[in-house]
Amino acid sequence: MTALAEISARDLLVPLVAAPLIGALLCVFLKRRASDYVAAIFAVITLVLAAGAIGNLFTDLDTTHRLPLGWLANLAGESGPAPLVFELSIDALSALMLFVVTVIGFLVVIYSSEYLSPRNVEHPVTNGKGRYYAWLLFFVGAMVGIALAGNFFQLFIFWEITTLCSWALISYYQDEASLRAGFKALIMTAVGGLFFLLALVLMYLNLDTDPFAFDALGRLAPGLRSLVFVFLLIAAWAKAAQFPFFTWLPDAMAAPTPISCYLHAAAMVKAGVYLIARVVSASYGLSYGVGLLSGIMALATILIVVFLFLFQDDLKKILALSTISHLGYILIACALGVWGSATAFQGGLLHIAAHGCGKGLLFLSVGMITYFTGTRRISELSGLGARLPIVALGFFVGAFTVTGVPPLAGFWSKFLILTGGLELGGFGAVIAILLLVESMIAFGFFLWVGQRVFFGAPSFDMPQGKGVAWPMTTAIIILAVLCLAVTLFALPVIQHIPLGM
Amino acid sequence: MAVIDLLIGALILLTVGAAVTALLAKWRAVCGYVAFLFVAVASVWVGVAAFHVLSTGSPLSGAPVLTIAPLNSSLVFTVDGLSAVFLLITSLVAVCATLFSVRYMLVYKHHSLIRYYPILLLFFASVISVVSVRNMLFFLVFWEFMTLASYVLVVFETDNPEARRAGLQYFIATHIASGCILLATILLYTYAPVKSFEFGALLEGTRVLMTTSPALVHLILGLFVIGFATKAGILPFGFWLPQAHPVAPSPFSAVLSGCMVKLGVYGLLVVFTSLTPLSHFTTVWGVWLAALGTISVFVASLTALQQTDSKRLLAFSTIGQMGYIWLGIGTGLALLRISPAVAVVALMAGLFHVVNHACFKSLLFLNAGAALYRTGTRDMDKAGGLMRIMPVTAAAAIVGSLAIAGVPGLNGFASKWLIFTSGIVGGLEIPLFVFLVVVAIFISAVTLAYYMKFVGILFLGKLHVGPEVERREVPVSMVVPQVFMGILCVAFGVLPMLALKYLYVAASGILPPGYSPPFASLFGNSALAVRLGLSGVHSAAWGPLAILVAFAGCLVLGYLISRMGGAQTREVPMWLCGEEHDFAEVRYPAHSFLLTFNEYFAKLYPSIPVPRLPRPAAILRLFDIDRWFYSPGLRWGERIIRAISATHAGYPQLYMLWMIVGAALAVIVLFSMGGGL
Repeated sequence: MTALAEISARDLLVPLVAAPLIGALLCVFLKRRASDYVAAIFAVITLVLAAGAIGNLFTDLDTTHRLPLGWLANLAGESGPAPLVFELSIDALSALMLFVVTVIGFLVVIYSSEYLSPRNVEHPVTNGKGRYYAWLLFFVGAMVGIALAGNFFQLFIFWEITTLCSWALISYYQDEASLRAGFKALIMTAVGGLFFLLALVLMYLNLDTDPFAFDALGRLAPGLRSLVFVFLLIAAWAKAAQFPFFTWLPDAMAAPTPISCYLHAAAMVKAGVYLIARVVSASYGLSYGVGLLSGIMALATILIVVFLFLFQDDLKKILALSTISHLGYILIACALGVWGSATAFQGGLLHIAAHGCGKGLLFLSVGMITYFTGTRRISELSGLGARLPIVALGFFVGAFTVTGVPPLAGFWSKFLILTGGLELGGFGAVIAILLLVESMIAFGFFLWVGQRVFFGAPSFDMPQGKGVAWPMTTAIIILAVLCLAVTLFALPVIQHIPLGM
Repeated sequence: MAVIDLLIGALILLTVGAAVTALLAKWRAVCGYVAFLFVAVASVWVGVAAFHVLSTGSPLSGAPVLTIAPLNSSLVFTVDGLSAVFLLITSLVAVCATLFSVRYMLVYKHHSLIRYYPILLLFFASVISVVSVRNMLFFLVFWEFMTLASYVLVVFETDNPEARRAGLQYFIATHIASGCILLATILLYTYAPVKSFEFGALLEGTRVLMTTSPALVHLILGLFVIGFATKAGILPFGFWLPQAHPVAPSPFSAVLSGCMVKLGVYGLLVVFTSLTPLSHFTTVWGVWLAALGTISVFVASLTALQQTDSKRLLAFSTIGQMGYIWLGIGTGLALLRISPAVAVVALMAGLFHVVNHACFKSLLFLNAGAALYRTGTRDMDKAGGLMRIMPVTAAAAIVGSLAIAGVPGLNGFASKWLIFTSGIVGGLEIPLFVFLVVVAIFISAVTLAYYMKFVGILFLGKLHVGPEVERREVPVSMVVPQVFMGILCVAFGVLPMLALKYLYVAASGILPPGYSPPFASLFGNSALAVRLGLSGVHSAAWGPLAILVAFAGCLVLGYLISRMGGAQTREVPMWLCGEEHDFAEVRYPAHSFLLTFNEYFAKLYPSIPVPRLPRPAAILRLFDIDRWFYSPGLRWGERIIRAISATHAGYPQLYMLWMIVGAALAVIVLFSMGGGL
């Protein structure tokens, strides 16, 4: 036990990244049940390691635990030493992201074991599960890497890995639509990645010491700093599906639903906002103008998307659109953070966790609907509440979480963002009021969808002999509980995340 | 154990009860009785705590339960006089409605009770919490939780499209209202010198704003008023109420009308007494509130007269009665700076009507529920004369109807009398009030008219029900709550001083200390009669006992005359000019009650058609970003790539040429950079 007690958060970082990658390698060679178990075991290992690291960090949330791993000698400049490029580290912001990535990753792996089966009415799956888990675990590893990356260079490497995994996972069914969607996602996020690379080059050329460190932006000249920030912002827009790049996300709904849940609600799209949150948290002297750009684009995204809501009949696409607007919320919170509102910034960070749980829950619930009914068109569904009460519970809890009904997590995050915006006054207050209006519309729409799908006369008969699909039910119940409880864990951590001024 | 722990204990008990009833949901009757047990014990505890506050006059406060550091807010349960009044109402209505539910809910054979009792218990817990926090953040949290729980109960009949539509409308309307309250709260918070959501800190925020930007104060107060008016069902914001109240299960309709809409009044009082310093803002908004209330009284009462659905009639009546309450509260707030004595009486009158309305409106909804339980219809054209089979229910309905119509001797009269008297005396200062009160008094007659319709058609006359209806009284567990509420209506009517003594504690507690005149100078010393002493002189008096004795004397006299004259009661068939008709054809139906009058006022409550969103394809095309961003980009990329691939012609010589050209270009570039090799 003493040996265990002496383990610090630093020691866990490498195993944490390695565990899912090893699992991914093993899954390549496995089939059906065996791959279920191996994937679940490695997901659990990752979760336990993450819990250990976060728990270790809890005693000392204000420091960053760094673990340097290596550098590229070729990058040594004329005046300075070679910059550190391979580095893992953990601090409060990493812990928040790590929590979302590992917990929801674990639940998605459990859920997938039942979802990808011959019993699935929409897409019966008989083989290819090993490939699925390999990519999924590879993706989990990359996301953990993004959360734990110690500098921009390291972050970029894992960033591109997630792009690759997302392409493979979106195209998993290999039909025409999903191949197109995967390609579209790959093109768009890769173009965004190029801007990230450009930002890295600019930083490297203009800084002598530590050009890739998170606080590098603060050390650049003001004009250049804004340029680099805008490049990073473009990368984030592509990743987090913001205007004008957001169209890849609704198309990506061709993926299996657990993948949509993990990549397009909880994890990958969050990488984009995580990057911006990281920059805002660590950089000093970001100008008002870049905040304005980021805020206005996010606001434009939200307003366009809320309009597109009303013409959607596909349940998953509605969730995708809602995801886009919620990522917009987080980016707006970051913009308000750039303008100096710590409250709004903390609200945005809390929203990463709150939206991850709420939207994840919605996706898992919708996945269970398609699993049993084979359709996800709202106009073809009704009265599911009587047949699938757990799904109804999950859907409503999820919808109330993302739209911000207290006491669920989404309320607290939106509340903080609104408070921050109104505190700033001026344009911040305008943004806050527009967000409130958007919340109302989205809420009304979700409630209408929920009533349409779950109430009324049942639209289908559950065939005899269907089990309760316990892996899926369990995942839904755990996430529903988290929707309520996540504020309690996340808020104390978030308070220790600084805001660069 | 401190008394406040009783309240916290009751909250825990209700939460545990929710879990237990959820587990027992399969055993339908058992589940109901268990729920009743939990609610009864919790209500007694809450009642004891509330009564303790009202009798000692000093607020109770507990230790912080939960603290949210970044917002400087901690959850502390506090009971003051005002919240004690609402706690007492809640516990009374809760016990009666839950007991009524036990048998009533057995009708729903195909609906799982897991969506009823657990949610009902959580609903009561949230109502109790809403009125016992002094922190706007937690107020909002519990407020929304209450809305959420009530939504689930309103759409309990999920297979009924009417219920679904009403539930959606209800939740969206109240959610927008909550949005207004939230916005107003955060605005106050941002201007507060001490950043906290405690009522006291927000009050300071208002004080700062009053000197710097009075327009913003009006905006904030307006947002609060819209928010709470929506919940209270005040027109034009309470449009959801006539849809939502009838479709809920009847016991919950009783809770909605008897308890939840009252919280709009509570919120209003909190805003104008705890969040706003006494100033001309209070006066201005008091007048507005009174005017809004009177409009509601006028429109809703005349519309109630046209209804043939018994529960919809009651729902419109709720809007009307809430209008009376707002009239009283508005009068009180408007006069607070001008004439404290009148103001205190008006506030108490409003609160008294809150209490009374809770008694008779939940009673009437239970009556309508009992009729629905027995006959299976809410349409008063299809059922009538139920007194023949349900005498106790009918008697309770008559008591409730007379009470709500304001017949002297019952509680509705006592509170309306106080509202009218204080309004007229207040009219000496602000003449508008005289006009408002006169309108309200005349509309009282309409109230009587539509309750005559309710009682007369549904309960009196010849029995008119389908052959499938069982001809007997509803079960005891449904009769007891009705009788209990009926007794309360009579008790507060005969002995109004019983209630006024405690309401004074509540009303004076929310005003600055020493502001309100002593109780004895306002209401006199007699326990049996109210002697109003407004502005130092005896201005009005009401002795229910004397009037009741006179009534009784008249009754005895009439009976004696009929005895002495030897009058006979004969039962004869209706004379139909010699034609033969079925009773159902010639029966006086609900829709022809006061027909001309109704035709005249039919348009008073407009039904606004929901605008359908046009589908502008052009905008959709504009937002189709793929058309002008992704697809052209992809096309161009493909074109460039094809152009490059044209160089791959397949001749080895050509590739050699490319290599030589490339090498030459590289050399030129390197030399031109000036560094040399």
